[in-house]
This record gives sequence, structure tokens and C-alpha cells, in this order.
Amino acid sequence: MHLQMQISLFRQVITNKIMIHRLLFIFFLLSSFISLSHSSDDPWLIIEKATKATKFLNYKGVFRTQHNKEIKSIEITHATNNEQEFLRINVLDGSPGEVLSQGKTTYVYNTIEDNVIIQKRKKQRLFPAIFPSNVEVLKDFYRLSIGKTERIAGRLSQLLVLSPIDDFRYFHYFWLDRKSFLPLKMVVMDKDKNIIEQASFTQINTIDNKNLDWFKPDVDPSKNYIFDDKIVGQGIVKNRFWKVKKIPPGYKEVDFRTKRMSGSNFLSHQLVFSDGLSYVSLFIKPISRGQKPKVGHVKVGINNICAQYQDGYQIMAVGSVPTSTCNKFSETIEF
Amino acid sequence: MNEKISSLFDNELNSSEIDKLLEQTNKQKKNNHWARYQLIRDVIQNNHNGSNNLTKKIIDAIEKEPTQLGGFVKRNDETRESKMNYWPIAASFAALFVIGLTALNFNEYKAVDSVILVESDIPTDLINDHFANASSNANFFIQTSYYK
Repeated sequence: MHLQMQISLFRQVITNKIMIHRLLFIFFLLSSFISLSHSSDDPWLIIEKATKATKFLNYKGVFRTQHNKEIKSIEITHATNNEQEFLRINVLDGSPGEVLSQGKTTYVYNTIEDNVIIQKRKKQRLFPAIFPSNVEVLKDFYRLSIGKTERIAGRLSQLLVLSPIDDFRYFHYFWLDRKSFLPLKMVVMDKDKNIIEQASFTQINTIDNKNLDWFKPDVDPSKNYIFDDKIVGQGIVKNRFWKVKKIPPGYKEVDFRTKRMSGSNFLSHQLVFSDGLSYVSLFIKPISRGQKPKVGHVKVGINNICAQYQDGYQIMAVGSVPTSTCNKFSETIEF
Repeated sequence: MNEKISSLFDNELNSSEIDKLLEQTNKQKKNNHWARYQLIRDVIQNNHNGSNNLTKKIIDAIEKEPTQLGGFVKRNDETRESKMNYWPIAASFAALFVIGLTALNFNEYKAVDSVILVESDIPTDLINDHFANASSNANFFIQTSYYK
């Protein structure tokens, strides 16, 4: 009897242990499943993948940009070779123009009548590489949601919508390639659903060949090639003589430039602010004798322009941003 | 011929081809093309340092520019490039000149009349500077130009 009780007790212990192991196994299985499903559903991770795709994918395609009534077709070729990015952008409609970018060095070839003007420029985030390298900057000011699947340029794409949490930025719609995550289409809209600007690939193909023969400008023997080195004066002002008061939340200064105003002995300053997707330039220029300062707001193309006068200086904010943002920036300088 | 010159600057020709090309270019006066391809090659290889007489051109341009006399005087204005002159006589003369000028124009600067901004007030430079330094649109980025 005593022996039977011991055996029964032993069986119960063993059964409990098996139960505990089973429960533990189920718990780990569930937790890993939850983790996996969470990572695959996090839309911000998709944007990170899109950012990587724009840097590391080798591709060639044509996209169309539209702003108001102006439509342009643009050819783009991108490759990463030995960890260095090579980019060639070629405007196909209207006056010829090209961008050749290698690493951080960017040159623009702009045809103006009989001349091709070559200018060295600071590298910009141009479509489709429009996402910031640090996606975190977007999280506090945009809500991200996943939309439906659509075909863009013959490829299946996933719609992502970035909705602003305030009135200081526009809505951004992105269609990302389902396979590569490369942005295939972008639409920027205001809160009333008016399209501000859009860009969309009409054709795109990946490049397997690592040959960089394409990385050179189209040379037109009938044109004069001029290297424009007129952009002087950058970095002249060591100490800023103004203060930037409260700017719209989420925007940070990303660039500062100074140049001499043509026809005068004064310098003009440009501060560039961005929230990761939108840009605002803030210009500070002294007013010459005889000039009347401008105040108010006007829209030119996709840009809102807001002017204020302050202590002898004309302050102008320019950007493809809502009027409230533009106004706020123009009122932000204090001497 | 142009293709040959381009190949020469890309180091894609052998020595006999180079000799032949040099002979042909001398005959055909292809000096402009030489300069053009040389410039483009230098830019692509990131060896272009701007024009040789850039400093002289800047100094000449500064000399030709007018200096603003009146307007809105601002303390600690570091944007104004002035030539400091410590000669006592010149300083006294300048002080008298400024006092005289201020007295003459006092009424003009007492109040500043601003006008409402309209589209025609927007200088092209302003839009160009914005697109050149703050644009995600390739078309605008390319089409802007400082060159005049």
C-alpha cells in the first residue's frame, strides 16, 4: 500500500513536470510569435527598409514629377559600388539638366541657352531617396498607417500614409515596392486633400552590371561649358547676430549659408529647417536704402512665402509647407 | 573626333591613337573641345578648383560694388564688411559726415513704411537658393542656377 502511494505520488510529480514543460514551451512559442508578428507589422521598420533600398539598390528608371501644371519626366540611375553611392539624374523634358553625384560630392549640369553651367552643390535628399536616415525624427510628428496594395510602374507596391499630428506639415503618401521597398510613388497633400506635389515611376529596373560607364554627363559639343564658382561668402559670419525664437515643433536647423547679395555690399543669410520630410528656408537680408520692407504672405508654385520686417532686416520664410508653418518661421527671428 | 577627345581624357587611348588625335586636333583647331572635355573630366574626378583668377575677380567685384551710406544702422552687425580706419582725422571727418547725414535724413528714417508682399516682389534668387539647398525635387534642384 505504501509502495503504491509512493508510485502514485511519483507519477503525479512527473505529470506536473511535463505539464510545466508544456506550458513553458507554449509560453515561449506564443511570445516568439507575438514578437515576430509585432516586428513584421511595425510600419516604421518598413520605412527603414525603404531608406536602405534607396541607398543600396542598383536601379535605373524614369519617373514623372508634377507640381501645379508642370510635368517633367526624369531618368534616374543609381548604384552602390565599393560602399560609395553613384547617382545620375537626367531631366528628359524641356531644357536639359543633369545631376551627377558620387558619395557626398554632387555636381549639377544646367543648360541655359548656349551654356552648360556646372555647379557644385550640397547633396540633397531627392526622390526616391526622400526619407531621413534616422526615422525616429518622424515618429513624434507623423502617424503612420498602411494602406492598400497597388500596381505602380508594373510592380506591386504597398501604400504607406504619414499623417501629421498638427497643422505644421502636410500629408505624405508613399507607395513602396513590395519586393525591394524602394519608394515608387510619392504624393504630398494638404489637409483639404489638395495635391501639392507628386512623383511616380513609370518604369524601373534593377541593374546587375557593376559597370559605371553611365556615370558621365551627356556632352553637347555645340554648348559652352562653364564652371560656376560664384557661390562665395559661405562661412563669413562666425557669430550670428540674431536669435531664433520658438519654431514649429519637430523642425530642426539642418543647414546655414551666407552669400553676398548681388549689386550690393551686404550679405544674405539662409537658414534651412526640416522636420525630416519638409523643408523651410529662412532668409535674413538687410534692406537697402530706398527699399520698402515687405510684409505678408504669398504662394508661388508649391512654395508658401511669408515676409516680416525686423530692425532693418527683411525676413522671408520659403517652403512647401502649410501657411501656418511659413508664418511661424517668418516671425521667429529676434535681434 | 569629339568621342576620341573624350576617350583621351578618360585614358582610353593608346599612344599611337593619341599621336594621331593630336595631329588631327591641331589641324582642325579643336581647342574649344579640348577645354570643354578637360573641364568636364576635372569636375567628374573632383579635381576642379574653380577658375585661376577667382580671387582677383572677387576683389574686382568688391571694388566695383557701391557702399550703402544710410539705412538702418544696427549695433553688432557682423554682416556688414567695413574697412576699419583708425586715422584720427578721417574718423573725425566721418563722424561729422554721419551726424550731418543723419540730421538731413532724420525724417526719412524715423518711420518705416512696409508694403504688402506680392508675387512680383519675390526675387528669383530667393526661390533658387531655396530649391538648391532645400529641395527633394530633382527638377527644381537642377533648374535653379546662380549663373547670370
